[in-house]
Amino acid sequence: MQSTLLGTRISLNGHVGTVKYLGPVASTPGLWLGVDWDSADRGKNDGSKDGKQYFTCRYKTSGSFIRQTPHILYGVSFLDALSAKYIETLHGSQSQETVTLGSSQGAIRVEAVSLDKIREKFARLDRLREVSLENANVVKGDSPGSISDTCPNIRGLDLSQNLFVRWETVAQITQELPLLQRLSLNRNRLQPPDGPAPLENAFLGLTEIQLNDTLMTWGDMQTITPLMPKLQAIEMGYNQLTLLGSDKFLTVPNSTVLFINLDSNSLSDWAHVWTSLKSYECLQRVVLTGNCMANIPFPGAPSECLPALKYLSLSDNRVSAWSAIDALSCWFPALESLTIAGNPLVTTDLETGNQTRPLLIARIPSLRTLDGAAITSRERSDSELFYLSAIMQEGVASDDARAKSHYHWNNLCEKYGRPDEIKVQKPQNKLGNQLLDLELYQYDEQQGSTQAEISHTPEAILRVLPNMTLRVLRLKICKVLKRDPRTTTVMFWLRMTHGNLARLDNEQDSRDLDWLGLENNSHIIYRIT
Amino acid sequence: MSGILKVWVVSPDTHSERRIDPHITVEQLKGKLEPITGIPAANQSITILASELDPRVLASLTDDSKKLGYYGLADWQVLKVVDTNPSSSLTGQLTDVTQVDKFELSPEEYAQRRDTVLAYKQRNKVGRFAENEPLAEPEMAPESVNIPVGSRCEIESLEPGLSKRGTVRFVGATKFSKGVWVGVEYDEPLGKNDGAVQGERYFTCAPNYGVFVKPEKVTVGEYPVEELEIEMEDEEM
Amino acid sequence: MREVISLHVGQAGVQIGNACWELYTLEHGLSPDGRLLEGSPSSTDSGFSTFFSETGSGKHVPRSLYIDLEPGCIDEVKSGPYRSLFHPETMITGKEDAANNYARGHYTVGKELIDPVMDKLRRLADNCSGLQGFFVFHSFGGGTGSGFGALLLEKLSTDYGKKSKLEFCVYPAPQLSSSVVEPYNSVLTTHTTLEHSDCSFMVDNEAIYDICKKKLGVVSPSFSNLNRLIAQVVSSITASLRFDGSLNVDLNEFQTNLVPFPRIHFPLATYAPLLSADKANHEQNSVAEMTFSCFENGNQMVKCDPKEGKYMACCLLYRGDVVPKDVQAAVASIKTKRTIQFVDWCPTGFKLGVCNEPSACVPGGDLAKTSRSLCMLSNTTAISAAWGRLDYKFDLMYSKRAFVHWYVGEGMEEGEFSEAREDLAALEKDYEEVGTDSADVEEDGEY
Repeated sequence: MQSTLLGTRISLNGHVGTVKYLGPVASTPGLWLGVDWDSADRGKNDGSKDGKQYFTCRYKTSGSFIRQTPHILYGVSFLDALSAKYIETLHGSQSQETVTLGSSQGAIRVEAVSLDKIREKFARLDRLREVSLENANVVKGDSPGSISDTCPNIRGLDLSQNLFVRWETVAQITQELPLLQRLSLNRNRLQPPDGPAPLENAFLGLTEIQLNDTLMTWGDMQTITPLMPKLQAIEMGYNQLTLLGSDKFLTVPNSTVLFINLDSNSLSDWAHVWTSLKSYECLQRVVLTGNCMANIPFPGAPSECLPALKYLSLSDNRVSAWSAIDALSCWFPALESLTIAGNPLVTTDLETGNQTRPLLIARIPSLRTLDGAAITSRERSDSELFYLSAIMQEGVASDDARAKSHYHWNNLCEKYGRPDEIKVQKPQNKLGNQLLDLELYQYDEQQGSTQAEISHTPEAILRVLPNMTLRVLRLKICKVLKRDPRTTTVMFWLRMTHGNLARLDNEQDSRDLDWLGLENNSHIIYRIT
Repeated sequence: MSGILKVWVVSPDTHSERRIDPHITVEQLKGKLEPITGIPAANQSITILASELDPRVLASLTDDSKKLGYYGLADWQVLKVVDTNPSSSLTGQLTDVTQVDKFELSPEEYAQRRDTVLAYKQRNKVGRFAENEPLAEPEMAPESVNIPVGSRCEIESLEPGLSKRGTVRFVGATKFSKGVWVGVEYDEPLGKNDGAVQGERYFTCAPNYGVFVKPEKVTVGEYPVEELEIEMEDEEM
Repeated sequence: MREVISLHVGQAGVQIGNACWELYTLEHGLSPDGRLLEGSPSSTDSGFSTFFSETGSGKHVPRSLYIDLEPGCIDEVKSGPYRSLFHPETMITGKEDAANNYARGHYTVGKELIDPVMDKLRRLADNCSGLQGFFVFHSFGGGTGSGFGALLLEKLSTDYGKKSKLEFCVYPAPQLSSSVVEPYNSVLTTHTTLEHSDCSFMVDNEAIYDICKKKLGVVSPSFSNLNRLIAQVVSSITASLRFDGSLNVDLNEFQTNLVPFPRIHFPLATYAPLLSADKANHEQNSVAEMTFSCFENGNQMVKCDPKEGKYMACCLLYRGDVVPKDVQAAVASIKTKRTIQFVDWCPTGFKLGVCNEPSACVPGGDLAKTSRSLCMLSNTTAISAAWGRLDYKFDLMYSKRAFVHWYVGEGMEEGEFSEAREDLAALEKDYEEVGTDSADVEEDGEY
């Protein structure tokens, strides 16, 4: 009894757990079953009682001791579960079926129309194409041949959250389903198989497998999937993965898998993840939503890149540096679609009102869709020009330095021509101690935008020293406008050569005008609020 | 007709996705935008913004004779239309509905119309026009409710995992609402009263142990009092 | 055969049509040029011939008509990936647009196009052995959708009086007006079509927009994102007509099941589950959970509070792997935060049905593929809030006689404005009258 029960999966009131202990517990009468529940919310302890450890648990609160009662379910065979779900006694075409709607105080009677017709359809087990036996307490297969006799047409099978623990059991079922293409095994707890032999003919037609919330490791998954020669999609979400693979697994090159979903794991080591995924030579789409990716280093060598990858979901990670985006463009030279919402890089910028979209677009030349919204060729060229001008605004001295911090600098210069150096006159200005003429324009409230038409004459012209700080300029403008600088807030912008406006904000107050790129006859747009 | 552009049109009163032919002139565009934005063409000042998420100004459509292509209009850019002279138009005056009283039909005017629900109900004598019938829905007589006073019961609970058990103390008509009500004394203080509602007492129990519910919510059965130390069967630690 | 003809009017009608027919071809296993693909569920189920006619060469052609007063949208279809699916004769365009003006769509410009349209329609109808009726797709706000849509429904009423006429309407978004004259166009078209339409399913773009943004993670949804979601709902509604389901197998059943009184024919559609395509299939999408989410806020296609409303009629349309006993258990044990209230004098009722063919999913779309789904159609008084909002905006504009001259300039009588508005006021009163008799229950039904 003991040996067969240990490791068994049980279901009690819809909660599933694994039996880890059978025996007495100190200072209580009788035998107890020690259970490690799948959900940490279900249990009461960590497998210990009064300081004594009887068994180990995955979580601190997923263990409890229960009595062996008839309420505990140990499972049924696949075909029993199939019949239990899909074969219902007909209610007779005469009788009108009604159900009392819950939450209606018994007042609403719902008429269930022609359900016998549906019952008859489902009862034709040989015709079923899509079958879902979720949480159906399946623990074993059936006698050889009986599944293929009963339901040979199944193409999609959902066996999520059942009681079997052996891959051999899954194989025993699926090898009798010759048309099976999609298999879901979410929320099961499967042990690695003893050897590949019993699984060999079980997954030959499979194109999609879901192994979400199974707590399987990457290595576990890779011992199974070589038995699926047509596999295209793997879902390994919610598996608490911190790493993919390890050295002891020799990864076999795979050329069929196109899509891997790793949603909501705890992956943080970028290079490691992609080294592990590298063996999937045709991988087109990867979902990494809800992981812990913070640093995205550049690939160590061109051979590490994934040239086939087109779609990447990186939403809800911890990416905060722009260099990460440059790195993405190196890792995935063919990347067409990216989702990046919910990362510090974009969320903090949303608060400050800065626009990250054009910078994201400019930094990934191959991108066609960003966060679900298509990028047109026009948006791309605008974004790239905006990016170039932003780089020039940084005031970095040399092109080498620019190329260093902006991966695509050289390519963009090649595409659009290198932008004019904003402070090319710097030496002359300094030497000649030449004053700058700044033309002052009022922000056009009527237009409600920051675009200023430079058709009219400036409000004023300021003659200033190029080494004057922005703070002093701010005061000077107030003076010219006859405003008290202590009570007036002046926002102002520098009009760039191609018409865009660059905000000169308070954070740059200590910079001098030269550094900020103000030149003779620069246009300053101001707004008093 | 290739080259139709999908752009956003944004004005003080509107926001919409539109299909625009870049071969039309600014003047023609203004004509098209008048019924959309409500801004007279002569008052319109239009700028092109980079995208919905990126409101950089790319160009101003200042020359009525130029075609839109001249300004480089492209897919998913934003045409922002402002009214240069709102005093001569209705811009901004069409959103604050509190300026006017909403038009309503008087009961008499409504009653005069022929094809209304009211007329239908009167014609077919349904609802409050039903003859010789109480307004309420057909109610079970107290004797047809098979819930004996004194029996143990469980009450339908909206919170999963929380079973509300107790003992039936009252079955019958009440003064607080129509129909048959079942008064229950809960095992735990999950109720709303002490057996009295609106000053009328139907049974007596400790405060907050009493509740009145409709018979449909009551399941009678051998429900034991749930305790922390329960019997062997469901024991767990 | 019980054929159904779909009429797609104006930009919104045509674009929703594209999304719907794309989804239909996927669901029936048809290639983009209308040929049955290997392993198609429709190779054994001929239900889809209600929506497709078969040509001698084995191609399946939609029983549809695309109509727009301007050529742009339809020209795009003619050069798009589904260009060989449609018969060129079934795509009709004019030369002059309706300029967002109901009067142009309904009178001046529309008049030019209505005869050729009815002509083409007659040919489609002649090709049917037992035509059931029509689905008309249009927007309330646009000039073609509102004006020509109404004209078409009037004509259908004259020429095909006994056939069912159902509408899918895009209702103006409550916060974001897409044009200033939307309230006029909407009130005018509703007034005109009220007596001609048997049942109108409304969607408002703002509700759909919010779903795309909040539930499906699309940062800036465009019409193509919105229309794909709308198509999913349309597909669920028409599933029983295309596959053999248990409820609303005939077009006229929608009216019988959902419309207790001819004027109150605007059911609210609600859909579940709304899961992003990027999320790993993780939690159980049980029949009970789908049912619950359809009674809560957030999944409905028109902005209103279904919990505030009282139900006159309701159809729960389950799709896919949904066995009767699960449905019955889910419906019986549903636990909402508020009591579900009903109007007790109504001749219709609450019904549920199952269609065991699951919905398809557009590759690259925003919505995750699921093995089961639920579309709830409820005739609830909650939707009258939508009319209230619209009517009030109409009043504000009409008090200033704003833009009225555009309509009068197209030959419309000014009296039509007040006549339409009074009719809508009566509609609001109708919804009030509907709710007056219902049994009021204490919040949680306890004392």
